[in-house]
Amino acid sequence: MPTEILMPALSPTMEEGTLAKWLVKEGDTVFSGDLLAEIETDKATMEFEAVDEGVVGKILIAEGTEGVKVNTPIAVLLEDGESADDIDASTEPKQGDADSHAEPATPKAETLPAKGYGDDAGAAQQAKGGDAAPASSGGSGASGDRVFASPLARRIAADKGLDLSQIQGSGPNGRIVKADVESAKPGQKPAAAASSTEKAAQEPKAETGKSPIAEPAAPGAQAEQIRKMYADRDYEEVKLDGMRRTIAARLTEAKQTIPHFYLRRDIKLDALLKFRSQLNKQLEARGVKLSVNDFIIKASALALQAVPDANAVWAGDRVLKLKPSDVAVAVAIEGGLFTPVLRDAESRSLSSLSAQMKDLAKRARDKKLAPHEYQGGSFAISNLGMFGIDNFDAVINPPHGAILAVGAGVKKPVVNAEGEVEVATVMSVTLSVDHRVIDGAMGAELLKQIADALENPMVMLA
Amino acid sequence: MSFGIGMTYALAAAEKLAEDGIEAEVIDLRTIRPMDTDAILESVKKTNRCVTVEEGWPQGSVGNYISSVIMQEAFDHLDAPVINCTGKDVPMPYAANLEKHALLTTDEVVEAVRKVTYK
Repeated sequence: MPTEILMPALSPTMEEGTLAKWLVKEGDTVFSGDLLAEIETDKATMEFEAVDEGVVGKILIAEGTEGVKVNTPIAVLLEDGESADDIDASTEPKQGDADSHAEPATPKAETLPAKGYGDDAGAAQQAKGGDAAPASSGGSGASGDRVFASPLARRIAADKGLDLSQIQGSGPNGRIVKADVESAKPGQKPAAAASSTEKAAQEPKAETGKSPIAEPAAPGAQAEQIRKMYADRDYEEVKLDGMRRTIAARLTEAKQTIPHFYLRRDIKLDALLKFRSQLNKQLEARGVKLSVNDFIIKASALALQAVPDANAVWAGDRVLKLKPSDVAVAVAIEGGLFTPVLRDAESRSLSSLSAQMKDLAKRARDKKLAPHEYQGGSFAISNLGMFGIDNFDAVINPPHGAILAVGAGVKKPVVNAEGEVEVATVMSVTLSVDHRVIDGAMGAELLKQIADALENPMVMLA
Repeated sequence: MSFGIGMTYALAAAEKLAEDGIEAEVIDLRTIRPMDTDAILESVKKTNRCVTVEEGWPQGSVGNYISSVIMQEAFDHLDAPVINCTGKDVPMPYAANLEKHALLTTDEVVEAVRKVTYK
């Protein structure tokens, strides 16, 4: 019997992804372990391998399709001696099970709910804990993922480029009918109010004109208003990719829900720079070159061990105190950023941290990180010193307890212990702290530990 | 869509519906075979829905055939399932009171039209 290949969950939290690229075509023979497709999750692009061997009979989801839900059939694999004709026979009874004999699903119809503008709303809700996610499925709420729509409604939606999953159906079983798609505008959120008024309305056309305006919060309507403001200006519209959506949702969540407070401190770098150049000279033969950032990672990891209560993350209704120091480091990449996590950083040598950081940063730029490499961690470091930034305040990457914003090391006049003015290389850092997890004094102690380690770098070798 | 005696129900129902602001297009097929399927399809493409009206049993009715033609030829124009209004699926009773119940009524046609127009 032909086997359906389902959209894989490439990380524990993945609910949907983009089918970035097919690496096989219909008719290709594949063996277990062969690469089938590249799938883009919210952050990384992952390769998807075949589990069984067989011939790719049919590709159900075209490449480039966004928001493909996990476990959606994406292709059909045929075993020996089967032909493409067997596909219908095996896939159709399955659709019958889903109580949809009134509307046999064509592959085209299957992909329809995946396209769409409303996805960002869904992503934001997922990032907020997922409680609201089921409500966003609109007309399909009554029966899982299946969207009920009349054939005519499907055709009109396809012509207008509407996402049926975002439309609230007013017919029996939440069926989307002509009146619903005609009143819907691209990118409109489920308009529950609109459909109920239509039911009563004698002249649906007159009524439907009002419904989009009744939804000022809809992302589509907002974009419409903003576009209007720039109607006479020259601009380019950039569609949001998964990463941009995730950044927008998570950082909005962070700034709106995390009670940030900020601790600033200057750290004298002269000892560290001297120590680093000595070390690097000796390590040259091994091909190791330590950066200041590597020391900051190590210092942070040690500080988290020294102040174990600060090595914690906020988990909604409780705090998780971590034993190992898992330090995330923000890496800027084209079109966004990643925060790969260096696990057990407190027990690792500087050279091994340095090597892993280089590897992670390189793969982050190629978008080849596996989800477990950028998820987790309790503490993050964001370093903009190389861009000449003196100091800045970073936004906490939830659920982390804190993030260290690192500025450039610059030569400044400072007053030393003897009361004399001298020139020192000073790096200004800001620790952004989640007050739900870490209180002021504890945050100050954490920052002191980081500063002490960096000002007396020898301790990092101990 | 109707023909023969079914037209009395169809026209009466259309009058009733017009009072509620539902404008129905009534087609008298005149002949069952040959059937004017072009007129049927044209009407469905215009209204996106169809109710067939006839006396007789539901199984193997003319309306069944009309439904299948519409489904095959104008599937993408349908906004609702086609409803066949027929007599009840019972042997025709001799008792006058029972006969009345076995026959199609105008109200059933009106109800069917409301169903396919979602009103």
